[in-house]
Amino acid sequence: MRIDFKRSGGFAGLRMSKTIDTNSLNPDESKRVINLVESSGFFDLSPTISGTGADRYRYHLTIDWDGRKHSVQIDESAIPPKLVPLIEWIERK
Amino acid sequence: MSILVDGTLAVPGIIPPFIFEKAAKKGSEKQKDAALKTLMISETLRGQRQILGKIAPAIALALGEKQRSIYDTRNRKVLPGKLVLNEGQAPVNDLAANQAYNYAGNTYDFYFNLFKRNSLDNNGMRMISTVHFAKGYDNAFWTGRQMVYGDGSGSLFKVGSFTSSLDVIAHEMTHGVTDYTSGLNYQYQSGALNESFSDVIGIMVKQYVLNLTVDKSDWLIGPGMWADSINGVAIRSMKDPGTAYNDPVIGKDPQPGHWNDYLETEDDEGGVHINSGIPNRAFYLAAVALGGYSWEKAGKIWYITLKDILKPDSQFKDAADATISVAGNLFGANGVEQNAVRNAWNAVGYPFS
Repeated sequence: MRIDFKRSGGFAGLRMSKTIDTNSLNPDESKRVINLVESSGFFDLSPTISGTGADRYRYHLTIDWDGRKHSVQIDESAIPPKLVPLIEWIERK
Repeated sequence: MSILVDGTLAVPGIIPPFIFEKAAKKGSEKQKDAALKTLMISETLRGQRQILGKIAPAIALALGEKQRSIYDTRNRKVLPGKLVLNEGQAPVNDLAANQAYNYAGNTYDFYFNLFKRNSLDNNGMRMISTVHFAKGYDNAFWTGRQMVYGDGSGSLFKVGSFTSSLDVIAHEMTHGVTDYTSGLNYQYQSGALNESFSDVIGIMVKQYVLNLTVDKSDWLIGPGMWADSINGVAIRSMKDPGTAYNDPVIGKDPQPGHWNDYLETEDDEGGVHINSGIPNRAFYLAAVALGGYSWEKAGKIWYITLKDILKPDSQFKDAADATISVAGNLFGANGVEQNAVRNAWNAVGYPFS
């Protein structure tokens, strides 16, 4: 599984990006992130989830797994609850 | 017992309150003002709520009464959190809460004293702020209803730096003002304008409180907020966009100061925090050309433009044309003001095509 994560926006407008490849994770971490992706329902999410307000983060998440590839743009104010743990895990990594 | 109905009054005791109530509702502006002041003071002395209750809305409008409420999410994320400080209360044991309270007051006073604007909606709306949002959260934002401040992680932004920065607080509150006025869409050029107006008011509120003329201001948004490990002086420079930071971890400040360097991107809602550098620099140039305090001319022009002219989909050229027109209306066609504004926009790439 390959995760491409980008965060932009926020008061300072900083842009940060990360790539996570399960091949380079230890088995526990790999299992953990796969669980998080599975329980998030990521592949069923709408490609754009817009939000409200100003100076919120904007996330761009692409996951390539097992022949499926999907990209979602999400406003921080509208992250689906099931997706929160995955986003938090990626941000902390 | 004497009543001085000119605003400098004493304590009423002989004249019954209903006379003041009537004046408060039906009198001339001057009479209303004086009557309301009398009632407020006597209320304070007597500790009664009943009279004030009946005409409270009139008081809020006439006297520019602040209504601030500070909440604390205690490092969690469910807004607004727990109420920790309400209008009129003494400072609490939490610096962030006190700062959010005080700086909201400064911002309110700026708008009211200079532009007669009564809170974000110009109708005395309650100013709601939440502090300690999430854990080590390196951000502040406007939800559409309230301001929210993180603590900062200490590794990117100094802990406590969001609430200790008056320009950040005034920036967030101004997103509210924009929502209630022009409603600039938060994407691409209109979004960059939205961002710029927040920085413009942010820098002016700071200059106002610190009593800085345009030549004495550093024109920096969020100076000193970066952690010591980050090579940067501020989050943005209005004077010289693109020079605020240059660091291996966070990169180089990407802001353009000219239309030629406008960044076409899908990041950041079409680069709203990036391309705001262009209108920011226009404001800086106009203000510095006119001298004195920024709010007297350039600030007034910008505020009237935001409040009365711009629309949700206004572009850079619309903003430029509007400020030039407003400058002419306020200060005279072809005056130094209109010329300064026109020159400023020319310097950053007008007509933006």
